[in-house]
Amino acid sequence: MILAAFELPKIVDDHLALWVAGFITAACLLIYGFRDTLRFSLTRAWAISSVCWQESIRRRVLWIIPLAILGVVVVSQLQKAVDPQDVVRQTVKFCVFTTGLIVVVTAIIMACTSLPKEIESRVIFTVVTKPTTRLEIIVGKVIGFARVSGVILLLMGLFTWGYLHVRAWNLNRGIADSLTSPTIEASMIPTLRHYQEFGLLTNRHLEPVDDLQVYSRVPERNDPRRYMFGGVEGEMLVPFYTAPESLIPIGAPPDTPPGAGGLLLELRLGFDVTRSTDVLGERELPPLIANPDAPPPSTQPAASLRKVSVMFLDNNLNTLVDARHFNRGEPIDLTDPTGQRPVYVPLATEGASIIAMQPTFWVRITGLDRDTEYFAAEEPVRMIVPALQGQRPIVLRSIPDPRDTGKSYQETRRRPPTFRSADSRFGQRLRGSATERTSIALFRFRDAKPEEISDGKVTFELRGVIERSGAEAENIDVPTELHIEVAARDSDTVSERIVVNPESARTSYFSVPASFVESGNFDVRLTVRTSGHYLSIQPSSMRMISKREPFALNLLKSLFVLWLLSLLVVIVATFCSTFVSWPIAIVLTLLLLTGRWIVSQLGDATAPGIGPQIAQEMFGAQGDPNAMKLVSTSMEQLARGLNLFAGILPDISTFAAVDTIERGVVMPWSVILQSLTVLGLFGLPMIALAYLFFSFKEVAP
Amino acid sequence: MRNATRAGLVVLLIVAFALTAFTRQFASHARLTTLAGAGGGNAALATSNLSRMNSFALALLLGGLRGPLVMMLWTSSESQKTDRNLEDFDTKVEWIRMLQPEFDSVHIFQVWNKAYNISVQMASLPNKYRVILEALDYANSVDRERPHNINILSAYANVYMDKLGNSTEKDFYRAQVREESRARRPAIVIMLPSSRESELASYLRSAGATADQVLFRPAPREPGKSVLVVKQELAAKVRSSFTGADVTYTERAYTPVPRNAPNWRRTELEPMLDDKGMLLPELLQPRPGMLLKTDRYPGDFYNGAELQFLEEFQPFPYGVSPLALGYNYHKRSQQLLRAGNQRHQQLSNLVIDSRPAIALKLWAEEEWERARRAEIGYFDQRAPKERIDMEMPTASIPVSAINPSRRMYLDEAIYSYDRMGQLAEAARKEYVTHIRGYRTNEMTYVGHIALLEASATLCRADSQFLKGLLAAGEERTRLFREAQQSYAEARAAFDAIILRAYTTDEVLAAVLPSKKPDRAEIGRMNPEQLARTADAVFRLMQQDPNNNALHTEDALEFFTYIARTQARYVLIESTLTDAARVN
Repeated sequence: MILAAFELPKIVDDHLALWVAGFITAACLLIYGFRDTLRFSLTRAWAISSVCWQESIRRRVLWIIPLAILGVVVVSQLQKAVDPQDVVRQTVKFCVFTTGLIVVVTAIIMACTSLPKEIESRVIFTVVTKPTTRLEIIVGKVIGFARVSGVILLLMGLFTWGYLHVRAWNLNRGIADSLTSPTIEASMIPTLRHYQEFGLLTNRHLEPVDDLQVYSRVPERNDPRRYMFGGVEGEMLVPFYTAPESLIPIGAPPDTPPGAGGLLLELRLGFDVTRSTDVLGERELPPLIANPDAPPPSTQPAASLRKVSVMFLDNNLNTLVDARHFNRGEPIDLTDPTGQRPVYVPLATEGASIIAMQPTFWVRITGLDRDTEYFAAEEPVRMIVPALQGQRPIVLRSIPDPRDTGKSYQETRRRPPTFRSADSRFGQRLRGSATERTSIALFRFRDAKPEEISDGKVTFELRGVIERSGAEAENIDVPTELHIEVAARDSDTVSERIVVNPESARTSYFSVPASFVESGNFDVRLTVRTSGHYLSIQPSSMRMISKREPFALNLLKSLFVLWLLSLLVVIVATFCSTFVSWPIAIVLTLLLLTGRWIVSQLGDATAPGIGPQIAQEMFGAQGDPNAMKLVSTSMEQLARGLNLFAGILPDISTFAAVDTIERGVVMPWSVILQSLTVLGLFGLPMIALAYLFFSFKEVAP
Repeated sequence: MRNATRAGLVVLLIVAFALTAFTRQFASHARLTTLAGAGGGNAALATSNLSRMNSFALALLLGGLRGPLVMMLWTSSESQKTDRNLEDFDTKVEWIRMLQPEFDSVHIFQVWNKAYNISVQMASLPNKYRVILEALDYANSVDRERPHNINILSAYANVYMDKLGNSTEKDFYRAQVREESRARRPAIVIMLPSSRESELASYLRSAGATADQVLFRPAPREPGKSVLVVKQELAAKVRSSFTGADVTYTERAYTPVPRNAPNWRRTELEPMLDDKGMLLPELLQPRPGMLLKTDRYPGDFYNGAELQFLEEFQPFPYGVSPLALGYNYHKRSQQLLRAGNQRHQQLSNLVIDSRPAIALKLWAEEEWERARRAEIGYFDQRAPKERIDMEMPTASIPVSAINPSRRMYLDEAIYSYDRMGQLAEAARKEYVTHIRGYRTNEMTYVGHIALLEASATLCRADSQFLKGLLAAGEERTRLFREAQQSYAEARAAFDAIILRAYTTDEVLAAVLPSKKPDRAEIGRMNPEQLARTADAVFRLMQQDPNNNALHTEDALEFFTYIARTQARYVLIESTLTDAARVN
């Protein structure tokens, strides 16, 4: 109940950690410890840190390094990798993970035990009787243990660098042998050649795509029309943002709820059947071609009529409005092949009311006729709020194109629809066909200038999941064949076709002449050219390697992030050791460091709305409303309290030292910056609090 | 004093470690001794090796953390499988194996998981095949640690028989296993100008090369040139036609990637045969002290040799079939059940006991199919996909003179027909032995036996016919007459199968001379009566093909065999008549 009454202002709630950190630091160091802060001497703190360093040497802390190295070498021998790059990837993971583990464990044990043991053994007498402040003792301890962590990281880093170079050198020799082996699999050859050319230890900077669209035809430069296949193979998504009040008809009484008058959907879609025979695939001829004398199938639509289905989806692309509220659940007939004459379809009041509660939503249009290509030009969908007598209707347009900022509502062009292919579990599924008439995935790169060009070429990575229909011959292998072309936007030129034979869920590499990509604005067109094969892709399936960085630099970044993490661990552990015994301090340190992560693992259990859900499960629909309210409110407040608690704990997931280096990707400087931010936000107040607690602690008579 | 205490502690630790290793070894020995003793064989079975050292070391190192680590590895590897992210999946599975070495159910699952769930995630057939080999490798690792284990051997057998020998992609897998089981021969490196790649590719394709075998690479240190590594047989077929001053053929010795290489992955099976097609001696070497026998099955014994039960089928000039390997491991499992008193964790005794017979039947059918393919290959025709469609294309083709350049096809066909007969007889014995112990599926297996006997007779007839083609004079006539006799016997056998198994009482009453549905009467009929009665069934089927009582679809297979026997009978008769007329 206290939590329920305690509502924070938004600016505080949004940056709670920053406010709390600032308050604690200021209160402890500038108000309570103002004198000690003024007296603070780095020389004295360094002298205390040297004592910690010598103590750790005396306790043979560094002996953990050879043990860790032995562990890494043993575990590396037990790995089973898919290719040489995977060997390196896994070894990097073992090395960096082990380094992080021993640094954190060492830091916790050293920092948690140091002060309590010194107090217990009265060694602290010799320090506190000197002219040192409690602040200098705390800072000295932190610096001392940070020095130990730094040395461990340095030695482990040197080992990691050396060991990986030896492994990579050894593996490179194997690649040359594999490339001349008669048993090598076709899809591996370009990959191994790539490894051979660029080595196994370079780190890539990957340029992501701006946008992915799937069409049935390559868009013409000056033609606004975009095509998709019917037969539920293609779909287009049109985004809308509608304020609830805009759904109230003009002139309606003030208490009219939004959407009360229903809505009309205006569709301007065209269709084309001229390429229908190819759509069916080469193994299957349309009945009228296979047997011209046969009567047309009963399901064949009239030549001037094609059907589409329309769905309203929320931001997660889940169904928002039940299909029966729109056109009574029936598909919509398109009558004008040119798409110039609009079709109006009613959305019932129930559906419009749901939309009024969800201002951002998508309209998804799916072509139903298998032998048809559907197309849309600019603004294919509008929503109309029906007019009351004597009033004019309200026309609601889709989300504006961000490039047209500053224009009026009517003048602004709308964001083009997103064209997609049917979903699979692994992304959008592209159908393979040996003919030209197959879905084309268009990966758009904008402002993606390659910074490094090798032999006049730029390398791309491609990774997708391949599925087969099972209809192909089983006694010979038919590799999946992908055709790739790169279209430069500025020069309007298209590269020669590149053929790639990928393996499912493995990265394939291909190179493109630099002239097509050096402007940074280009499209990569991808088609699957093997019948019966399907490729599932996502925007992240295609990346351009824009530059490479030496492994040593990436390793240094990783080690630095680990060092920052160890610093945070030392500070938290020292803080804990100032007011509890060392075993409790270890547990408390772990809890403080991992608390936020633990709460995040609870997932939806701490999300708003969990209270009513639990109450419903406990009491059912006919339960006592008072009891239900009590449980519901209590659970909500508990969840909120938990989230509040997690919010003031450090987010250690920002110290992401392993992920990027493991994947051979350049670590962005932003990771270091984020780590420094977390360290600053939590380290400083923790030091201040540690000083405060230690000041009150009686350690000497 | 302090140093002395430390030294004492170190000594104590070393002694404790040695004692742990000793007691572990003792326990392992006791287990194997119990196993050997249970069958009445020699007690001494000491597989004293360090193969389990990794598992032991890991368990010792991790102590109580082993459980949580395994739990994490299981969930993580299974979610990776679902997400199709297999990058360190194998490493995790390997660690699970090492951390849970004593759980057979884990190994049974992982072998199946790799062979079925993971292999189908690969797009290309060669990669699917390699994942299946990794499943076998996994089983092999466990087998080295826990030899003579019915669960592991059965898992092995299932992968060979059901996945490599009998799955949708079986044609590819069977060919690969047969090829890789043979002794390795050096490959040929063809170096050619890059501009002639397509020319060589077309020669190779017409010589039967698959797309995977025609992969050109840039020649190292030779700009403008390409190299292609092909098998000797393939190179021999194009060597005379694809020539030129700038084309070279060089022999390259077979050098497998060493198993201890960091990125070693199994890409092929290890050879099992020598140059003469005989099994390598180490695969037939009995394990010292291992001999399991039981009085209940007097002819059977288990000596622990890897391929003990394939010895009687040597030589293997066309490689070892995965079904043969499946039979071998199923037979070993069966022997461990019968004489070793082991029980499978998940399969019943009935299933384990019946698998060798079924494996032999499948192997026999594969040989039958191979023989048909070879026969069709001799006539330079394209083999149909299904075996049943291979019966008629060559049945009536008259042969006047043998084409020497295609003689190898006839040799292969004869070998496979003869092998089929041998396997059918072995399968029959296996079925009979099994039925004596387990009568549950008696009716089904009696049907298998009848089918095998009829098929073996047909294959014997085909073999005699082909041998007759290769012979001359009196010998030729004798072989043709024997073939005619065998075809007639095969026909009678298939007639009896149709009447016994593919007719209802109603149909039987309509076609039998007694006009009663008395199946015993079928056994008393002579070949002519059987033929007449089966023909009557056939006519009924023609009149009313949709009548469910007639089992038309199933019976049609047997009428196809009958059609072949008739066609060959007539062909031999006309060949002999023509020969007599010429003489």
